[in-house]
Amino acid sequence: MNTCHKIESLLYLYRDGELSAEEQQMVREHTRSCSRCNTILRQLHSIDDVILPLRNDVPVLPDNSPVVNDTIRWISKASRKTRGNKNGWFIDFMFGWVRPALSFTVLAATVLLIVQQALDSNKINTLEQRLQTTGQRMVPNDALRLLRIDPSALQNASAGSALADLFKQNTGLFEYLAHRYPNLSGITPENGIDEQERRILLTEGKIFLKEFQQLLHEGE
Amino acid sequence: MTRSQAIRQEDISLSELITQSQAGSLPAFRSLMDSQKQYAYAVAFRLLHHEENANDIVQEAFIRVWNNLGRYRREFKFTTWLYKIVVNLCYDKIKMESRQKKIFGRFGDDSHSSDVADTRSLHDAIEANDLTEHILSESKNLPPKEYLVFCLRDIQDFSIEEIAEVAGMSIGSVKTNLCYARRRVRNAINRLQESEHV
Repeated sequence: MNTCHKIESLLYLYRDGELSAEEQQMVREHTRSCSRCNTILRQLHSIDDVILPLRNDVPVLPDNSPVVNDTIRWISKASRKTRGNKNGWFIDFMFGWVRPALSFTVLAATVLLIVQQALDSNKINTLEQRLQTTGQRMVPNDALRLLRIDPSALQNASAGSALADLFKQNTGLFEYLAHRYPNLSGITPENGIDEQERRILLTEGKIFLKEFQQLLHEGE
Repeated sequence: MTRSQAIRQEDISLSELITQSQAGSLPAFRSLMDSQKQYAYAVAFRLLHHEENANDIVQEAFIRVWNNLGRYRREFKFTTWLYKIVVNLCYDKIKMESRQKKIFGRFGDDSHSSDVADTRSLHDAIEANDLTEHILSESKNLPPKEYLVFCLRDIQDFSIEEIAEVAGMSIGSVKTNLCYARRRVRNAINRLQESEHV
């Protein structure tokens, strides 16, 4: 049975040129004594006999087949296309780079825009968070420095003393600012101020100065 | 003129046609196609068993030949190169159909509607005692590589070396696939005969 197992794969390679002379000899000797393998071999030969007419029956391409004409037509068409492209080599050479360059520029600009927007949005979010946080309060002098107001100039203003008293009574300038302009309350000088924040402060500061002028006037 | 002289003459004219085609002559390429189309068609039809598909493959093969004539090396036989292209295209088609068969099942595949072996059921084949058709039908259920080797060897009568060359396989791989294919076909026929006796 073990020999059968070894021989069986050789049985399926029964046609000429598929086995070496030595292998053929092995198969011949084995099939002479083994009826099972002999049956397989005979079966395979009978299948081969059945296939034989197929082998001899060569399919013929019909005379009216359009294969050749269709192929020639396709090739001619493709060649014309290629020739057409060859005539436009100058245009290709001169402007061939425009499309990729434009595509690249548009792509790069889009990416930059997206990155910039993301950065801006992140900055605004951080600022908003900081503005909404009620943490460390600014001392009056810091607030004035941020608003680019000289505290000594304030003291020496024409109605300075009255105004200074007013602020002192209200526990300092920042208390007033925090009450009047809540957006300023979260910003501390320690955290540093970027350009965006400075712009906000200056806008708020301008409004504050207007009110300050009004207070000054009322004080007088 | 003796037969060998005729073959030599044929080789010379084929070589001349190839040279002219490489230089871009369409009439020469037409003559080259006329001289080779029957061989190409025979290979394609025996692998696909479908006239229209075989025509398409032959056309596609000649287009590839035209596009790659510049790369053709004279030390290889032109017919072998052509067969290689045809066989590769057929193999791709067989693989695609086999995949479709797996996905949609046998009933979903209408690509062989004109194929006698497919349209007949196994029992019809038994009744008609048409073992040839049954073998063909069973061979189509073989895995693509086994089917290719089986067809090229047992139906087209290519030698093992020729199959290895056109199918791009080693001789050992050709023999292994051939062995598996014949075993499957034999087993299928045995099952059929057993069911016939029952």
